[in-house]
Amino acid sequence: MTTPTTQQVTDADGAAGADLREQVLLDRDGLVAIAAGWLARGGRVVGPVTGRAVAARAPLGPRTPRVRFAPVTDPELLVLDGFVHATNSAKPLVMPMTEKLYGYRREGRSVELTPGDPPPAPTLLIGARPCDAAAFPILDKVMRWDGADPGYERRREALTVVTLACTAWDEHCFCTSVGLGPAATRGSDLLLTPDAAGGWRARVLTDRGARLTAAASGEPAPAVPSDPVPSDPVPDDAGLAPSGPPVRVDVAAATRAMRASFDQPAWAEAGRQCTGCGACTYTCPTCHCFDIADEAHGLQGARRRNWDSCQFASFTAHASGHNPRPDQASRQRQRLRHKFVTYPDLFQDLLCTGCGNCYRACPANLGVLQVLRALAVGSPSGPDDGLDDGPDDGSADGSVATGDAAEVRA
Amino acid sequence: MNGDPAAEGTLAPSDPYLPELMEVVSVTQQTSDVKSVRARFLDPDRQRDFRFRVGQFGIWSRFGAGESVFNLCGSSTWHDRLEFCFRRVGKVTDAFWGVQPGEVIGFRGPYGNSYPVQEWEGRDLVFVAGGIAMPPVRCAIWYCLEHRERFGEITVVYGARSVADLVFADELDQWAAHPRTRVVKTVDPGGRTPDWDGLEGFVPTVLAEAGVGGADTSALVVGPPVMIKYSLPVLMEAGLAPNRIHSSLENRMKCGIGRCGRCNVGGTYLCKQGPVYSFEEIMAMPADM
Repeated sequence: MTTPTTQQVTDADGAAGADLREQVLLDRDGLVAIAAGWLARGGRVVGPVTGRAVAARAPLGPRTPRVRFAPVTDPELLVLDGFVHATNSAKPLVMPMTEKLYGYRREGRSVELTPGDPPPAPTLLIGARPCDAAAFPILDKVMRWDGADPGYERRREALTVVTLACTAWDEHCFCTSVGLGPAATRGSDLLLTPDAAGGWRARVLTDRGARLTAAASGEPAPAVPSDPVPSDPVPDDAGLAPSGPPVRVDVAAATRAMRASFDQPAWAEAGRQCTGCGACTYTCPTCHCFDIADEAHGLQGARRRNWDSCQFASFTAHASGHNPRPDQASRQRQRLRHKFVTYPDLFQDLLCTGCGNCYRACPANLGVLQVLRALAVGSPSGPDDGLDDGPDDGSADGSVATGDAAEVRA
Repeated sequence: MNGDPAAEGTLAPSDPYLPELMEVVSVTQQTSDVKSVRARFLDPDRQRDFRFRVGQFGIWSRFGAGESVFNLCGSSTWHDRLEFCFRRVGKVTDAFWGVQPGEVIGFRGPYGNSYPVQEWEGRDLVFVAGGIAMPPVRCAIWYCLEHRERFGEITVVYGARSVADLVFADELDQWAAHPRTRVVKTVDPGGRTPDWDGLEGFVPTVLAEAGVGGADTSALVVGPPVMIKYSLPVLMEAGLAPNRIHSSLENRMKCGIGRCGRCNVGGTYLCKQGPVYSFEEIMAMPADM
């Protein structure tokens, strides 16, 4: 383990020191040391790791490591550059795939309730992409709607997010179409942007981020009495980062179409293509729909909250057999409308960060971007034009871009 | 670093998913596959202080099987118990079928909005129910009968496939014994028994012949889609505006608090903004139900 090499730099406006716009230089060794320190204090570190060096789904292009977010006990295993996006999302850190809400024990006619999952260890996510980090404040709005969700809140409060700004993206990335970008700060405590020396400039965005860099530089962490979880976006530091993927779809036009008519040709088309496997929802950083079910073992058991998917027939099937969303077309409509109409109406925000995981995980080459494009073509204002300037875009009729090389900025 | 990874979880009373424990007081078999249950909170203070509004629902636990959504089918004026009614149709209701007095079950709620009982004051009321949809109407009927002086003429039109499919059949005569209250009961053609003293005919037909209506009338209509489809024009022809006709909708629900994502129809969450809607609202909903 190398001693962390951090160095305070002065902001453009001359401010320095421990304010939230502090920037610190950090290299890989420094970051690994931060993770090691976190582990040494009993915390959990999660970041991109690769089991085998397998290519991303584009078989002919330059190889990018295929990574997934997983807990590490050896921070040296963290993959901190070269990848586009993890195959999973970081959502399990706040919404695990399965969670024991509480237990029960039956004895005779009585029932005793017992505690659910213990609170999580303080968790350091290193290597989130901006589209992963932005999902946390988006999820906050649902999970804090009219009152807290204690399990979610405990995990959220235990989480510190270190984000790696993107220098590479593939044809499925569409963050810039949904108001984010390769160096968007939303949801991050620390944002790392590559510098010329092969390390990163670390932008401190929250008190949590400040404590991390203070720990790395060997200085005492600033005494912060309270540590509210940020849920509002901090303006991007546009000068620091590359431009990101081109705007790939006119989301406003697609949304206009969804609002103009519940019925759209795009639903039937997407419904024909969709196999209903739910992979899009499971790899999505913002999909949060869940099931509550009992897991019984004799006289005791657990009531668990599990991931569910709006793409499953069972999601809405009534016990009577009636199903208000009887086919994949209506389920695709539900998913897209939830993200771009229903959630925005409730929370004035989008339920999508443009990460592209829905497409990458889809066995049928379908994703939010493809459906949005098909909707935008049918928009009342006419087809969107002048926006698809990427060379690797799919046709605008909802068919998909064929696997192309990961687009790497020179 | 805050938090202790070794710490035990806790049972937070504020946890919206944590049910309160109730004891089953009695179980009544209503039909071959419908039962109603009376239950009270284990905590007597909670039972005394618990309040809800007619039209709201609870999420009921049978530990080991899971949770189900049932309307609170008793009147909100009954403070010694809560009641729910279910048809044996799935995993949880199958487990509830065997529930015995004295057993402990779970309850979360009350959830959702409620019937516009204040808007109903001074107006004639028509309650229309079909089959297993009587429980969510029953709570409103009892509420109105217990505040009889606040309402005008009350007409209950209740139909089921056959005599054996009527739920709360023993209460129909009790309702009819109240002043200015009429109960019209019917079974589908072919559904009568030799001793049946009600009508024979479909609910919309019977409703049309019941002579209800007028601009001072409000209605609550809950039942199978086909019953609603043909009853609605009858009521509108009788002078009821769509915003004077309400219904209680149902969808699969898990959380009851607008998070699990399955009960919404278009932009409305049945568990939070519903389950009670006027037909003015229902007719504006997308065809996703």
